[in-house]
Amino acid sequence: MIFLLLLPASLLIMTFFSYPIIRYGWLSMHASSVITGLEPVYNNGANWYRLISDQRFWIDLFQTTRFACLSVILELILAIFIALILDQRWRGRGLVRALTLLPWALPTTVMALGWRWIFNSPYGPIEQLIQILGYDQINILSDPNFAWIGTVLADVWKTTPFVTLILLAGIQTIPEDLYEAFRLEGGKPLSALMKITIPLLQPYILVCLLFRLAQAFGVFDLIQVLTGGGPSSSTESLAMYAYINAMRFLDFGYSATIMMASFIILIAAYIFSWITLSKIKDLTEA
Amino acid sequence: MTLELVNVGRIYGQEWIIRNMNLKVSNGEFLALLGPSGCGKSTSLRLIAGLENPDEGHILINNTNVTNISPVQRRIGMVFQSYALFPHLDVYENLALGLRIRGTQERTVRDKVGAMISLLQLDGYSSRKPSQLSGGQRQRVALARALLRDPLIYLLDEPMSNLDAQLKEDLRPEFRNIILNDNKPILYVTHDQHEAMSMADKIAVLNNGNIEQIGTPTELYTKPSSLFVAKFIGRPQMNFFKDGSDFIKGVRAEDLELRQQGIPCRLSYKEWLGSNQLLMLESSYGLIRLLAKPDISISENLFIGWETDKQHLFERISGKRISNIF
Amino acid sequence: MDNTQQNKRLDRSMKSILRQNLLFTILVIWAIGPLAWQLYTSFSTADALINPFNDVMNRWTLSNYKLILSSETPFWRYLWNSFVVGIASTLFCILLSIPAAYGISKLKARTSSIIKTVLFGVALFPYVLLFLALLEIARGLNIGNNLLALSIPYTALSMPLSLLLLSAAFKDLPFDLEDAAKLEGLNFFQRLRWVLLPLIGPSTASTAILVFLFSWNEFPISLTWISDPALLTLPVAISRIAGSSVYSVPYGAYAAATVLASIPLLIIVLIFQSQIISGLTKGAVKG
Repeated sequence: MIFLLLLPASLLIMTFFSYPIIRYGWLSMHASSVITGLEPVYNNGANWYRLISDQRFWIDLFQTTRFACLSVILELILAIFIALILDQRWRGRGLVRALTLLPWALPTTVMALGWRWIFNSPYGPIEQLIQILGYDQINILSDPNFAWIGTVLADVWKTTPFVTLILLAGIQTIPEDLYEAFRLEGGKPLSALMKITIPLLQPYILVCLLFRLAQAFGVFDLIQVLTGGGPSSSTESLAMYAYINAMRFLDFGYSATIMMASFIILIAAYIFSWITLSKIKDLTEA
Repeated sequence: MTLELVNVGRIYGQEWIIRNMNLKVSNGEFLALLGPSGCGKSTSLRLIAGLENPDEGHILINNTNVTNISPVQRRIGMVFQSYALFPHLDVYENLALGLRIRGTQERTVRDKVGAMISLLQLDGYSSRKPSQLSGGQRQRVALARALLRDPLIYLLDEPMSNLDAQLKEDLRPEFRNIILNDNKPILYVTHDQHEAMSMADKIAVLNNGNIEQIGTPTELYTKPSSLFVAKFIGRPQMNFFKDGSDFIKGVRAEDLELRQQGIPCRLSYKEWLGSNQLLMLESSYGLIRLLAKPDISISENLFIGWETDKQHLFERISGKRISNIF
Repeated sequence: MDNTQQNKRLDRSMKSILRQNLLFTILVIWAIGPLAWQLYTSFSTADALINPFNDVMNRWTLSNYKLILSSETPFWRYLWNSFVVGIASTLFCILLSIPAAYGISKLKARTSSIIKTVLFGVALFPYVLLFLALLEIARGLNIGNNLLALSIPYTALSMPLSLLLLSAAFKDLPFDLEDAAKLEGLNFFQRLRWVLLPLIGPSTASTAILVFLFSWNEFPISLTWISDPALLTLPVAISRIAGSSVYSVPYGAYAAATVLASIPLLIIVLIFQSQIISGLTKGAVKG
């Protein structure tokens, strides 16, 4: 009976999550491109050799990791502060919460287009402000050294609300008594943050970290619209490289290899951090 | 006989929750299943209701084997400990839902629910949600729902445990009368011996999934069949005297007497109970409880004893009662 | 003396209100500043955009909106497409999740916690990486350029979160409730209809809104499945606009497009704020 209830949902999840991964594993061992007429031909791991010596892959891996780590860290720090502000009771809190939620709810492509205009040089508001203040224009999205900072900024703006909400839910589970007891012991507000709030928020912070890192690692929409991966591939992510290989170069075999590699790297990163975290936990508890 | 359990057993993993349970409850008989928490009381109700299936044995209702029949077909009226009222429905809808599902005509539903609402003095509450009712009112609604089921047997799972002491006392006679009026077998699960003694015709004392003793409240009190029953029934607890022999002597606190000589004791402390006083005494047998008249003054060191016809004798190893030895 | 103390306290609370209001303002500017800038831009003439801080009186225009609403595929068409996909995938997802979530909640504690861990892992997965295999499925079954077909992968991708939320909702129901309904004679479907569904209503609403938002915003799969310009969903349409002319500056029209795309979500967020919040936070807590 229970089996029957679970069947349709499991089938759907298997088809759309498990099948692709199996398929990529298989496809990554085959050449499937314009040369083969898009028919898969076994090529004995040639895709993987190519991947290892493909500089663009490694650069993109670095850029993706840099983007993911930096934006997630910034989001977490900002979100903790915003959550602390929103936790206080004041009039209009509901409206502020709804408004801060808006950036998260909007389609990424919509807000990315908006940010492109804000970063626009010379007519965007940022450049105009800089001009009024009498500085040279920086033209952030056209500079290969700085464009990625623009993508981080836009991502932080978009995703901070999501992290904030989850941390806010966490903060609201901390009983007020704890803070009162801490005050009676002579604790200061700032040390209450470090000694009570942050430690008790740990599971929530961990959930955000896990979820956001994975999502940021797969960044696609935002960069696609904001910079198109440019200038000179300086903001390109792994997902974009895989997309370009499949849709522009019509090299399905290599695209699948990139995605399989991303998948393996992600899993490895998670296993690694899980082991490290549990080791740290053991050490602190011992 | 309308409800009968034959060798019923239920196993969770490696552990028998209930083993070899044999019970008979007739029409109009009120049987309480009494035992400490975790003794298998609630599980036995769920087995009878058909919410769980026994791993061995049979359950018979009106001499029909219902062991493999669905809960619906067994026609059970059950009151849950949590009441299990549907929180999204008001009182009227809570009572009407089952009737409608069973295909009762809307006119009849209205009449029956209306009658039940006034029988249980819930008039004026019919459009309230369960969350807007007091504990006692919720309990009445739960009882009303069970009655409307027109069941073959009633199963009551600690229906009073969420009520405060005064309310319990007030509700007991009313509850008993209303449900007995239907003249069906009633199985009442409780861990409160006071409740069981005051309401039930018969009590089955349950220990670790086994029925230790079935009998009237008086029988359980005056002739406990084992050490477990003797300890479990009666407050203050019965005193036990172990003297190294193969027997354990049990004497109730009210049967102990202060004497000029006997077992030497020292007064540890006393509790004033109004109609009498409870003395806690230290002796070579350990702590002894003695109920004395309220007006006598108690000295620090004293002696106690008892009439032999008031004593209960148990076998040390098996814990079984030894009767008619004197 | 009493008075001065009161004054001091009043002074302190005034200060804290001021400080709070300042933080509040910064927060609101941070959140909606970029959106407000889009709104402002969308009503500006092309000439005014080049001098955004000058010429306050003669800068306003509706021509940007006229432009995008009268183009070959009018912009409301994309809104409609996204709406269709969103509603369809929400419906499919809820219909399939409810029985499965019920099943999960009835499993043994160990089994259901394993399933939940797996679902959590799957929910974390950056689904962008699936696009190529999904594209192959669409080609193989010849179901590209079909909005209803597009909602099938969306249903599947939202399923893990949906199952986590709904099975938690079923699990939270009082244990005896379903037993009571059984004894009252309700069969499985009657219990679902009369007892279970009404009680998990709020969780279902949160789940449905999150699924709808996901489908409304999804980009890579829609990008690869839909090529017919009349069937594009909103995010893809926007990216096409963005890609069409990188070096020219028809930003007024872009901004008008982003404003129109934002309005439905603004409404959804304002109305369903509490459902969204409870869905997100429950998803985090239960996971």
